[in-house]
Amino acid sequence: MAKLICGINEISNDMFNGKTIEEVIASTGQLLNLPDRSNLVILVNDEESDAGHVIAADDEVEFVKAAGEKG
Amino acid sequence: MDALVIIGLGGIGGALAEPLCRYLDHTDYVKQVKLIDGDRYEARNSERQQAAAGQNKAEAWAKRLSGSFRSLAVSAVASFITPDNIRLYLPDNSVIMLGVDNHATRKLLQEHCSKLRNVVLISGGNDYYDGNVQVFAKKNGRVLLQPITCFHPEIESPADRRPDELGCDEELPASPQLLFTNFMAASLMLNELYLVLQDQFQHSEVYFDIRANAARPLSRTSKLTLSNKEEERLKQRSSSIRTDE
Repeated sequence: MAKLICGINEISNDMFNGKTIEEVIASTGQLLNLPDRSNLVILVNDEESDAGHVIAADDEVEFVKAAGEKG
Repeated sequence: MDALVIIGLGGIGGALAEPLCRYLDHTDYVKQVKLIDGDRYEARNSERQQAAAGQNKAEAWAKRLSGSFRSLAVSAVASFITPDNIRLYLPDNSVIMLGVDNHATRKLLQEHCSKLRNVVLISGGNDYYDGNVQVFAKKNGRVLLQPITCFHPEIESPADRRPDELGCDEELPASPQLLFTNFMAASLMLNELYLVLQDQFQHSEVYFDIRANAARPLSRTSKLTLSNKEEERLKQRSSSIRTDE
């Protein structure tokens, strides 16, 4: 089952298999609290990828959340 | 570890300073803790931080902590970290707890730490309800946990500036912060330090959100091989330059 991660949020679902990352962003972006950034880094199984990647069954797709700025 | 340094004594740094010193006082890891911050308290900080307005933050904390511990010496540097002083304050074999409020300083720290042979950099940052902790580590020249700039373009190419780069009439843009979010960042930084002191280099990053009362640690390793190959390449280059000479 493919897994999508952003920050502390995670969704696993067989429905992601075979879809592009761009397609799942459209359907799950709000659930994951995806940031609206043009420089959003996408990792597939820890390697940099892009929104055109077709998700495989065991893929772990992470949308890297920006680092907290303040302190 | 030759030195433990806390950079930034605001909401996060101020929350971890005392428990960290209390823990170290009962161990043999290090006998000196250095606090570094060029900032002064303002009235608007009082919601999250305790000190008189106008006091330098590092000096205020050093005064509060000095004499409280039987075997630990706490000193203060009332200055921002800059490219000119970073080598003086952060030598090799340092463990650095970084609680600053701008990515430009985070980038400076990472660039410096990448050049050291033995170093641990634990960096915390937050927004109002959430944030993250990142850990970079090198041991005997080998990268164990990837740079904090890795996969973080906002740190690699910061849109903000360091405090020392601002003009006299400028200041970093302020945004409201929540005390409890600072505390969670500080707590997770201390957890990661504890793991590192046990020689466990597990997590390159931990995300957290106080609304969910949750944290997620991550172990990203894909760039480690690249970081170590780069290190090897630089070593070979230095060695070939020395041979030519």
